[in-house]
Amino acid sequence: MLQTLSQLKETYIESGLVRYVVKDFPLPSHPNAAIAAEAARCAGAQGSYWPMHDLLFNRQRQWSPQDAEQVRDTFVEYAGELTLDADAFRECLETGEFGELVRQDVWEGEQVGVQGTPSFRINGQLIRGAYPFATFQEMIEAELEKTR
Amino acid sequence: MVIEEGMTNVSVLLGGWAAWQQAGYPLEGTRLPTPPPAVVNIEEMTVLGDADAPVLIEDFSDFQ
Repeated sequence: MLQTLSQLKETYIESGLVRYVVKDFPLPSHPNAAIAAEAARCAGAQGSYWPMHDLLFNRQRQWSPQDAEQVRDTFVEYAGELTLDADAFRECLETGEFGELVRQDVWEGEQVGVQGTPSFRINGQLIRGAYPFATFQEMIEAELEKTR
Repeated sequence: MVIEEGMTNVSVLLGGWAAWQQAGYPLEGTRLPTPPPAVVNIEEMTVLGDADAPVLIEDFSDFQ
């Protein structure tokens, strides 16, 4: 998805045609997904949501199999790599500062029919599954056509 | 109080920082204050792009 997002950024987001919003939808079958979502937001609290977002995807194989304690330490290490305030980051994770916001996103997703990931809504139209940039491009162009 | 601390040349109070340095007084305790953390918009941290863009993509993500 990172590659598709990069293409979306270059082609549509930077030119003001698309607004892209990440909504957290950690699946119960993925035990570290919720803490990862919170980690990205804790980094965001220090102005680094997107660098942590990318790092979490790129290092997925490292942290996915870890237990709860290990994964927290790993995310704190990532925060250090991004030159964030590691103590503040750890505190953010340990206090669950963004837990409620993550749960709110899940609730919103459930209300619009999201059942798994990845899922997207393009101007309210739900699409389920991972698609290449060309598929997004087709749907975006169709939406843009409506506004012309 | 400055005199009690052994700093007899109190005229530096009139000369400011330059006079303080010229008098050779210690520089300890002159750390600049830490700037306050940048204000982050919690609602917008997961968002890329303009609010008035004609197309909105919501990405329901699971990092794992």
